[in-house]
Order: sequence, then structure tokens, then C-alpha cells
Amino acid sequence: MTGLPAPAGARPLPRPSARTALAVRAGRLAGLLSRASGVGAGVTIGGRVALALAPAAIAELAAGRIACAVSGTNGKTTTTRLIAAALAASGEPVVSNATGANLASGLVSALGEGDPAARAVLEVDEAVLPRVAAALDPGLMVLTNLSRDQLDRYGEVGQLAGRWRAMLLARPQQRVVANQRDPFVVWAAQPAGAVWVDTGMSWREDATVCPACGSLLDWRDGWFGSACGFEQPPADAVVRDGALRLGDREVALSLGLPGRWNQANAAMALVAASELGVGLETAAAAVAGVAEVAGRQAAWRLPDGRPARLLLAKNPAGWSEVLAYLAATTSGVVVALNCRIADGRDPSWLWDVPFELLASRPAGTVAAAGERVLDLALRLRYAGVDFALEADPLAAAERAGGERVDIVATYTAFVGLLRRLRRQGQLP
Amino acid sequence: VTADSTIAIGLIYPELMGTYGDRGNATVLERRLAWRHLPARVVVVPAGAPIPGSIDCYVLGGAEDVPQTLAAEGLIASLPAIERALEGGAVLLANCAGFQLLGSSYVRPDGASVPGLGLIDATTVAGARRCIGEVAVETGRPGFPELSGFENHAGITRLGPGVRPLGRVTVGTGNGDGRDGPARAGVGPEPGARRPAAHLGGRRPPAARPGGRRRPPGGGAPGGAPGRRRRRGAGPPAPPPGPARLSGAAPCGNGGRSSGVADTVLRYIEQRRASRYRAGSGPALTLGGAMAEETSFGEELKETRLGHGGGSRNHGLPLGEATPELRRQWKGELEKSGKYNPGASLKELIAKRDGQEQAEAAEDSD
Repeated sequence: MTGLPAPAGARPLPRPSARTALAVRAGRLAGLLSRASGVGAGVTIGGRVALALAPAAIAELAAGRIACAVSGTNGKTTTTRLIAAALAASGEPVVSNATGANLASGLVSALGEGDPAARAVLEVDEAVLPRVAAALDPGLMVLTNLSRDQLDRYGEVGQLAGRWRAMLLARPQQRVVANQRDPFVVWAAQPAGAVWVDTGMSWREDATVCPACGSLLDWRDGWFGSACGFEQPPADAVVRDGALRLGDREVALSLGLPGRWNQANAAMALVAASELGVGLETAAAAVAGVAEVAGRQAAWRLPDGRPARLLLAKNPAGWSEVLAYLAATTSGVVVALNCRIADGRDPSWLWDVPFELLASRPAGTVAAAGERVLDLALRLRYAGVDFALEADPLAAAERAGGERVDIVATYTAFVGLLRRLRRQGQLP
Repeated sequence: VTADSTIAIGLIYPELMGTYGDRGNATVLERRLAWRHLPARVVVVPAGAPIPGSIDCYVLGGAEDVPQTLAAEGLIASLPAIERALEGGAVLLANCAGFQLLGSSYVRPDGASVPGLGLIDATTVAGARRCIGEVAVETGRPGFPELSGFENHAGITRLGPGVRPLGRVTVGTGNGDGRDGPARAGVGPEPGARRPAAHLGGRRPPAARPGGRRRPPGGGAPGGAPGRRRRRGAGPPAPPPGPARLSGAAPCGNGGRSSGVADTVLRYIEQRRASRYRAGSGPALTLGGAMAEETSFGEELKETRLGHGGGSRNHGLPLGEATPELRRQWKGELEKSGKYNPGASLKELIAKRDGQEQAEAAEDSD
């Protein structure tokens, strides 16, 4: 079902009810207060106020205008941004929750803020998606991957995949673009009949048993299958070495974003854009122009003039990708660990991250930082990494050697740094 | 039991029982032994493979429900080998689901009952809510450190009569049995007891002889003569093994991965190793005392120069382990910056953090 034109503007856009409009205005006020008081970016609090005032706000604001909902453990924000860029390049007005506010409250904010006639590309939290799917009724769902993340908050991956599957069993007509390399995503998306994208990703630590029958999954060179007959479906699209093949079409990917994980994000985005009716070449050009997404890969200069860059890694799958990428560079590396609610309180996942990949770096080029720097220090010591200690990631960056410095941070450490750098005027 | 002197740390079914960074326990044990110049290796037993009886320390980790059932099947199939190893003095560290599987049964949230190994008299039933958060445990045993970690489980474990808990929970839920006042965490060693009902490390070697001659741990290794090993039946009846049940890294920046647990397990591994080297009439290698605290191990190293050149402070090389000393040094380094203030006790840290929870949730729950 590749290449179906999107039903753009097929449904009339109803005006929001007075109650919803009021709710959005009240939410906007709360958001302004939040920003003005310096508590937060204002997006989530605004949405919460709006939701409290109008429970049906999502359904009303969303009616008929959700082009696409993007969800999964990793890559949501970037994939959303890339799809929005591709749609915008085709000349359509687009609204999006570009800052990554992806809970129900963030969705209300995004939909309430922008042009009410514009189509929306929304990033949706993976645990929230099944609860809001009916209200959003998105034209397309893009399902990136499911891996262990915030176990203390989200529960175990298999349970989350089960809720996704139940959602799609209830929505058999839902159009889906899904990652063909992820057994949980495949199992969840099968009821809908998806466009399968071979993203080339290989994280399999969280998928060792068959989601359908519970027996051991058989893995061979990226292929998986199980005794019950559940297996990886044939790919409709494949990305490899800077090129995406979709059916009989092929397009070169020259990305402004680093790493294999961003190639996977771009592949998902291009297939989604194609499903939404954007030409592949147009979409690829738009995607190539994106160099930073909501602070990910944000670049600035340290006081001593060396270039620095901010990378986000939230869970073992994400950290593995970022560390594998950094292993091939010569930059100084700052690793910053927080364990707040949004990071996951339990840092036991540190022991599943291959920090050993940093062990061969020259002395003095790695620094540990963040609120849980001691836990990180212990892990790095066991990984044989020579490191400096600093609580403050920016001080750590100045101390780390290397001609350039990459700071890899967990979510709240990342957001905190972004905020500081913006306040100091080093980032826009 | 391996024929050579290399200590085999068995990481059992990591694909099934590795939800909570559990492989870290094997890494930590292997590295710490290596830093003490005790050759060790991690033997990964992949899911589906038989579990060998030649392991010195079995490490079982946390699992989701379905993998837990698969792991139970494999463990039960290999039970005779495991039992023989434990009778021979092998150590077993079990966390989370691994711990639950040691009991007689585990009732899953869907009501299905999964048979356990029956190595300890305990049963686990999935509770109504998950117990999630930091845990601290007082073992109340002389020389055993406070244990700390992170719990994330639904299972409520009831211990049979006579099974001793590992300790008393001071922060968190633990077993959640709530039968006699304080909650209990796991079941564990009772070093002073003559016939402990449950035991972390299988057979206890004879008491350390503080005045006895010491032999370097590597004196017979590698390739040296390890001396006669104690055989089955040579000692008192083997008590059943008891697991420690703690997972995750230590909370609130005190810098350890269940550091107390690693210390505790290392003591038992050392005791086992000591028992392997014990010759009928020759000098005994008794490292138990030296292993009790890493700081005292450092002193011991300095004093006796165990014959390995390097590795200790007096040789000008850093002791690899994150000793309390090193952690103090780390903290000192951080505090100099004026931006690091981890606070005092675990309880205080958690209270302080939980107080900030509301603001934090509003700030960045996305």
C-alpha cells in the first residue's frame, strides 16, 4: 500500500467549541505564566490546564487534521521534525509539537497554538498513544521502535507492545509506517497491515522472546522468526549506506544529522512523507536541510573556542548508537547522567550500555558529569575508561581534551543544558 | 568446579534474565576479583543451553513475565547440576525474578503458576501494585555492609518458617510479606549460625585463622598446585543456598552498584576459593577477614604483599576497585567545584528528592 495519496483536506475542519477555545486560551495563559516565571518551557503546563478544562479537547482540536502521529521509544522527535519539514517543503501549512512535548497535554498545546487549518504532524509518547489514538484519529501512524526505557515508569516493553497491538486491532483501517527490524513493532503493527521499513537498526537486547508466543526468537543477520510462525515481514523500503529504496524508486540521503540512528529516522520520515503524498526527491531535499532537532546536535563554541555539540541518549538502545558513532571520532566526550523522573529513577541500565567503547580514547578526553556522576564514575571505572569528574557538564566540557567536544546527556541533563545555553545566548 | 584456579562467574540466561542491567553484577564480580589478582572469567550461559555444574558463582537476574517462565524451564532442567555445585560450595546471587524462581512457585499476574526451583522455602505471588524505588537493607550482621539498590517488582514473596531474611528493609518494600513487622529483603547468609536455614554461599569454610600463615592467592595459580579440594561429604551437611535480592545501581549518587551486595558475594567467593586451597595439613589460605572491607583489604595487601607485585597503593598503582577511599576521593574532587552536594544519609537524600518531585514533574514530564 505504498504511495497512496493522502486524504488531505478531505474532511471539513470543524471550528472548536467555545469550551475548547476557552480551554486553549486558559492553557496558553498558564503556559505564558510558566515561561515568564522561568519554571518550564510552558508547553506541558499549558496543555494540562487546557485538558482539565475540556476533556474532549484533543478530539475536537484534532478532528480531521492529524496527518501523522509518530511514536516509539527512540527517534520520535527527530522523525516528527523530518516529516514536518518534508510536508512543509511541499507547500502545506504544518503544525507540530516541535519541542517534544508529547503527552496528551503537549498535544493539546500544539493543536491549540497553530493555524487551525494546518495539518498536524505530532510526536506522541509511546505510552500515551493507545489512549489518544481514537481521539487523534491520525491519517498515518509512524512506529519507530520499542525498547527498554524508564522501566520504573513505563513498565516492561512487552506490555507496552501489547497495548499498541490492541490499539491497532481496534483500528484495522489505520495506515501505518513501521520499523521492520523491531519484533515488538512488527507484532504490534501487523493487525493494521503496515508499510515496512528496513531501517538497518540492530538493537535486539530487549527482544529475545517472541511477542506472539513467548518462545525464544530466532535471530539471523537481522532476520527474526519464531516457532509459532511469527516472523519479520518482507521490507517495502530499505535504507543502506546513504540511500533509500522504496519500491522501485531510490533516493540518495545526504543528511545534516549524524549517526546511523538518524539515517533510520530519515528513512522512516521519507517513507511517511511519501505516504502523505510528498514526492521522494522533494522530501529528501527537505530532510537533508535539517541539522538540529530540538537541541539534538545543537552546536556552539566553548569559552576556549573549541566547537561543542549536544547529543541526547535516553536508554541502552540510544546510548549504544551514540557511543558506536563517537567511537569512530576523535572528539572529547562528556557523559552526563541525571536520574530524575523523566530520565528514569533507576540507573541500572548503565550496566547494559557499552561504555567500553570509550576505553580506547586518549587520556584526558573523557569526563563524567551530571547529578548522578558517581554512579556513572563507577560504571566507567568498570569499563576501563580514564575519565575526569565534574558535576557540571559545561565545566566538564571545558576540561575534556580533544579538538572538539561532544556532550552526551540523559533527558533532563540535556534539557537543563539546552536551557542554560539559550539563557547564556550561546544557542538561539 | 573448574579444574584450574580461575573463578567462573556464570551469567545465566542474560537474554531472558537481564532486564535490569543484571549483567553488571557479573562484570563487577569479575573485575573486582581480577583487581585482586584472582583470575576470574564470566561464563555466559545463553538461553536454551544447559547450565553447567562447573560454575563458582551463579548470577541470576531480573526478567519480564514471559521470559521468566522460559528461564524457569531451563533452570529446572539443569537443577541437578546446580544443586551439586551448590552442595560443593558454589555461590549463587539471585536478583528480582531470579530470586523469585528459587522458591517453590511464582504466581504470575495472569494467575498462571510457574513452578520454581524449590531451593528455598518461599513462594511469590504477583501483587496488586508494583514496588518501585530505592531500597536499603540492614543485614544486622557484623562485618556486612548496608546493602542498597533499586527495586522494581510486583511479586510479594513469603518465606517459609525458619528461612532467614537477608536483612531488614529500612527504605523501600523488599519482599513485602509484612508478617512480622519490618519488611524483609530476600534470604541470606547467617555467618554465625551453626546450621543456617538459608545460606548465600553454600557450605561455609572453617573460620579464618587470624594467626595462621597466609599463602598468596596466586601461590598455586595459574597452573600451580591448588592443594586438595574439599569434597562432597567432607564437611557438615550443606545448607540450602539463599539468594540476595537486590537489583540496580545504588540510589542518590552514593556511587555503587549494589556495592554492599558485591562485597557480600565476594566474601563468599573468597571463602569458597579458600576452601579449594585448603590442604589437609598444610597452611590454610584464609582471606575471609581481608575481604570483609575493601579498605582493610588494602591494608592487608600492604602488610602481607601477597606476592603479586603491583595493584596496591604501596606499589604506586591504583587499586582498581571503587573502594570507600576512592569514593571519598571522588566526592572530594566533586565538592571542590561547589556544585556537588550529595547530602548525608540515603534516607535524607530520598526525602529531599521526593520533596522536589512535584516541581520536577511539572517541569519535565515530557
